[in-house]
Amino acid sequence: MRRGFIALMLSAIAACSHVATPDPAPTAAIAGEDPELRLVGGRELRAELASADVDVVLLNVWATWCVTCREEFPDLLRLRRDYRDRGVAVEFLSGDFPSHSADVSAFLRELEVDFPTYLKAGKDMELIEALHPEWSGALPATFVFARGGAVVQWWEGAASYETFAAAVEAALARKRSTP
Amino acid sequence: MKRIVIAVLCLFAVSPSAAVELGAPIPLAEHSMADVDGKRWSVGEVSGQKGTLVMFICVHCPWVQKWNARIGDLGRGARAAGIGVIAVNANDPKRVPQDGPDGMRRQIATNGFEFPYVIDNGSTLTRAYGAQRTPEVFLFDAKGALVYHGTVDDNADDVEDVEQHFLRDAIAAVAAGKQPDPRETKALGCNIKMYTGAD
Repeated sequence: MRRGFIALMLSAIAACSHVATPDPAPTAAIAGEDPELRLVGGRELRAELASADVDVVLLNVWATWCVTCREEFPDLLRLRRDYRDRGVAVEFLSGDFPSHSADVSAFLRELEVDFPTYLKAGKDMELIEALHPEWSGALPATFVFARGGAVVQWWEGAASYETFAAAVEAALARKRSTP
Repeated sequence: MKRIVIAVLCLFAVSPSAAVELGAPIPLAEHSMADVDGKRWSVGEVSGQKGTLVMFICVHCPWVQKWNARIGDLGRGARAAGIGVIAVNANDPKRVPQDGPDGMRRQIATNGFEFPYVIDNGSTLTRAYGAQRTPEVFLFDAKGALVYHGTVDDNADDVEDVEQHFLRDAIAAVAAGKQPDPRETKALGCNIKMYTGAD
């Protein structure tokens, strides 16, 4: 039963897979922001995530003005702590306007974030198409990538710790079942 | 394990519903909604000879706030070109108090909205369109077929740096009896806070 369920889930997430063409380019840190904020466009971000030396990357796209984004943020930080030794990276991309970078930094400091995160640069369309062409652009949105950068799961709207953990576990199981 | 299984199943439940497809007719054209003064409107009532523009917006969303003045301008321009216009507040004010009638009145006055701005109490229209975010616009041609779906332009943050005026160009095309190009666009925006109770 359990094996059958996992196979079903793996088939489902495989059907959701999407790989964008990477376009490697450096990201730029915004001077003076603490914790570090890296300005990044959609294709650059995909390239960075694809080159990450981990089995799974979970990317959360959020914004300071988005209440549900702020609400789920602590669960994502907990997820990051719980899975960091299991080959999972949890990354954050703020959709705030670059002119509001101070607000982004203030929120991150409030939650004691002490690692670099991303801030959207460039056109929205480019970011949306790079992450997943079916994404409407609504925030929050969460994307789960396998090693190498293929999207194995994504959704828009807020989620719970259990949902984030389930997505990560499914991606890890998929990796284990791949020769 | 059980909680994880349930959560995995929930992943599929939170995927976005599909928006109205290009070429589809106006959904729920006769569905009646009240504006801030209690006057009732339907999309069918506001339809123009050349087409109909339906805009899902709200008060609090920073993306809408950035585009508010442009939405007012485009609405006036569309009406002048024979395209009927209606804006729909898609958010439940119980979830976001700023999106209540007082906020709507200020938004109308500040941005010169000269078109009906109604409250989608129950989210009936929003769900029928499959709208996911604010702002999100749907433009129908003279025959009532969807010909443009998406966003306002390619730069919410700074009107001076707009390179592609998606909605302005789509309105001009529809007014001229032509197909917009592009027909679908996207932008970041606020997820719609649907009404969760009974309609």
